[in-house]
Amino acid sequence: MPNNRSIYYQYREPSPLRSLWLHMSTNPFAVAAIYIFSFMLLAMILSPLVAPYSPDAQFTDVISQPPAWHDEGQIRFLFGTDDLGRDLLSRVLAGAVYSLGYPLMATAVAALIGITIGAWAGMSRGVQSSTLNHLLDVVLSIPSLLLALVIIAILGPALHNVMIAITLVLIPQFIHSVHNAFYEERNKEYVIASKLNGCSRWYLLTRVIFPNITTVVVMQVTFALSTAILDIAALGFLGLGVQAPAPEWGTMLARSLDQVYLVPWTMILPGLALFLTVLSINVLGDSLRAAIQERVRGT
Amino acid sequence: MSNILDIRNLTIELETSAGTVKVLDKLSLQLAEGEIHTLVGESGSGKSLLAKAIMGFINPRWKITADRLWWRHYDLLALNPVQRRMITGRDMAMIFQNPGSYLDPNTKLGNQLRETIPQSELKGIYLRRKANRTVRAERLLHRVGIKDAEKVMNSYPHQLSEGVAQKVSIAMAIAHNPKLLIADEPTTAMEPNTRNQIYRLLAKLSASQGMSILMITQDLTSVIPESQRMSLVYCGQLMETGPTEKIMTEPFHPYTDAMLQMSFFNKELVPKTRLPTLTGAIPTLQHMPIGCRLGPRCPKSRRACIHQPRLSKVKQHQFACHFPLIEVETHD
Amino acid sequence: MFRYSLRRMVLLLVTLWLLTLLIFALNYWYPGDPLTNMTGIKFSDTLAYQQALVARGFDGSLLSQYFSFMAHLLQGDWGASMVTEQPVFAEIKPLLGATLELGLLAMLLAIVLGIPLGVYAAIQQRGKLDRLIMGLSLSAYSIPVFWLAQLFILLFAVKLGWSPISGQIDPLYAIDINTGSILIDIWLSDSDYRIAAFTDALNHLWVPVIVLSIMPLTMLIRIMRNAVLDVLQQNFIKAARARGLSDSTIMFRHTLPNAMQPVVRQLGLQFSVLMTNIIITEVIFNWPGLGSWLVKSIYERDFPVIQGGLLVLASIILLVNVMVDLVHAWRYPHIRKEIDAK
Repeated sequence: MPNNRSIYYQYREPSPLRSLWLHMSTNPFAVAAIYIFSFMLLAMILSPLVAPYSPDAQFTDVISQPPAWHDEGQIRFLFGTDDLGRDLLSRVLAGAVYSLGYPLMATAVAALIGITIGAWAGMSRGVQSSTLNHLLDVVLSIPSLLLALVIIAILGPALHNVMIAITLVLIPQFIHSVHNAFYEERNKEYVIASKLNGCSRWYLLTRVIFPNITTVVVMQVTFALSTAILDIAALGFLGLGVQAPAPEWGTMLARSLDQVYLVPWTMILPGLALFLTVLSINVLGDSLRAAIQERVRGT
Repeated sequence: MSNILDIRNLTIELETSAGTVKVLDKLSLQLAEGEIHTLVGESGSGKSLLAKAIMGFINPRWKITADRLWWRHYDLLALNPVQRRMITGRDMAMIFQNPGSYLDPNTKLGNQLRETIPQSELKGIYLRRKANRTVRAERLLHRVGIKDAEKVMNSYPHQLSEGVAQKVSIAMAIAHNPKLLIADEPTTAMEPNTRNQIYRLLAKLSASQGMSILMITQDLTSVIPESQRMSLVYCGQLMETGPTEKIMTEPFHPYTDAMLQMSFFNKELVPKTRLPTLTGAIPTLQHMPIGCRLGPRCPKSRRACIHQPRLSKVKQHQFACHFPLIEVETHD
Repeated sequence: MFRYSLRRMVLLLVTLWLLTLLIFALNYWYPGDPLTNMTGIKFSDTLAYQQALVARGFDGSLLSQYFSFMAHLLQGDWGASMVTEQPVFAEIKPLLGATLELGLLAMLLAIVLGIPLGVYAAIQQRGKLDRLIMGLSLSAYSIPVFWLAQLFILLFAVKLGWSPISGQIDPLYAIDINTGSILIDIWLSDSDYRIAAFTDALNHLWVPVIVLSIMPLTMLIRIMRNAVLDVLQQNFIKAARARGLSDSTIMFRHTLPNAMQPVVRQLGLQFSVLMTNIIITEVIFNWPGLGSWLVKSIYERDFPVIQGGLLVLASIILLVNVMVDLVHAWRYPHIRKEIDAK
């Protein structure tokens, strides 16, 4: 605005979303995390197009081929091949669907159900609400992976069962955090004031309280997403999740465990993909929380 | 009486997103030994910042300049942080608004009180000193008017009312017999009864120990009769300073007059008429007017007010205004 | 405090009771016959099956089945493994010892290293080392534990050869398993090679302990750093400075005790995270603990073992959480007020 600058410099408060972005973009780690996460998402969506080979295609002549920069490597298998002669790069790309796409889906479903129940429970009071809280305490004190293991034990190891298990495990976490957030906000003065103004319960829920607990929801979503990714990979690693030929990162790591002496590169790439994805999500969540806190403190 | 605290043209600048802002603009203040000096300023006037600057709670992002910031013989700005901390720790103390938040929530008050008693004032070997500390802590609590000292020493801050908590912080503040006590709105958000107790206590302590008190308040109603002198600050600029009685009865500055008009002291106010107030609102930090910062709101402002007026002096009484309410001969 | 403790204990009992309800219900949800799932007695073993049918109240209502389930549970009759046909309860003790040894050592390491590093990072706020520590801790926190374990094995066991790849101790030492905790067992044994066995056990132990401790360690560093920074901005620290207290007094008497509060509160959660990781780590390192036992039982669909493992792991986590809560409330009295006010 160099030209039409008025005499009085008018300071304009940026909108909440914009100020969040302003805070985030000053943090180089957050920006890097955004790029990495977007890259992973793109790789996931485009994996059938960009992958050089089918993830299941076996090249019997190039079993356990080292990566391309190694003396024995070939450029057509950039990251080498595994012990069955499958191209690692293609497998890791295809694996993004299992290791990132499915967790995203599970998180979305769990968030939808969990936030609804949590909001409903947060608005109701008395015995109902405290019983729920105690029940949730029991469920939440059991680690999510253990719970998923139990559900798998009931349903049997398969991809759709893993999805059901992970979604079921994530729901209580959403209920708990949303319920607690509602419970804390519900008795604050501004909510009471709106109540006295005669706002309907629906209005209170959606317009008065909900905007004030977005921090909690955002945090919980990123947390749930990284939990889902790690748990699905862990189940795959234990052989209880996605079954073997599928190129899921955890399953690939489990396979590489036996061959770590011979073909260490089959372990590095899927692990690195998993690590970078989770790291970018954690950094995003972390900087988002910091940005929201800063914004709240700044005003 | 000599001035123990001498501040001349203290300026504090803050770095904000909208550029540098002068929060305190050439503020001067003198405090004599044993005197109670009241500093009146509305919110945003920088009065708490002044207290922090004196105590040395300095944020490295602040830029502090002054012609003089002297505490007795020490030039506080010339000292390094360690020396400064030693001097302020020895000679000064401060009490705050919301005393509860200025006490460690997880330590019993007895322990907090005991550790403020300086080592040098205790004699004897370890156990004897320890016992001595307790006795002295109890005596301190008695001095601030807490009868059940033992009970208070065994409680945690959250178990006390604000009034008692403030008394305990006063006890801690006077533990090492400071020469200056800065009371930053010590009674805001307190019941009138408690408020009076605290004020009486402070006045008594000042009289009995010769301790100077810089009392920081928001409005004129909290100026206690024991206060010998007072200063009014508006947006970081000193408006008027002088003996309390003079200012209350014959103010020179339009700002002081406006403050008096809208306070309870104005007995002439006819019921159901409008309360005379200054027009407009206190400007935000980013939008400070140039010159006399009261300018846009002042009923007497004229063109000259875009230059900051110098302090004029009539006997003990000083003010910064081009057009004072009472005509005086300015002698340059 | 007494009232609070009492309430917490009652809550713990209720929670444990709910847990037994869940475990009881699971027997009916698992595929197969509920009685077999509960006791491990197969239908083909007609005589024993008929006896169990009566003993477990399966001739009566669901309620009587639950009561007899509870009675057996409290007597320590947790059924027998469907694979090895060993009683589950007797098998658990050494496994639990092995798991706890690993878990507690890792937790200890995390606390001993995490708290000073966190404080250091806070004091050096925005310094180079602070950024380094925080960056490392954020990345370490995102490493999947099974990948980390593999990397460690690749580095320390395969490339450097500093430690064996897996296992608890060289079986040649023939240490009698008693408590399950290998270090204590060696201590108790009368073997002639105790010192050598001890060294060997430590050699096996250190890699899994470090792998396990990384996650809680990094979390503790972050929490501690943020807590110290938070406390340093509190009014009472400023007031303490105004009173002329020395820096060390402020640090050790006021800053650290108050900064420890969120850390203590987080310890329970960190323990839960640790227990999740321990399941995977035990599988990778072939550690004879509850976790690998549980995972194996899921492969084998050995339901009495699954429920035994679940019950023990969940109870430990609940117990630790309650203990942490009690310590927290005891040490930080103003928390009690908030809890009572609720």
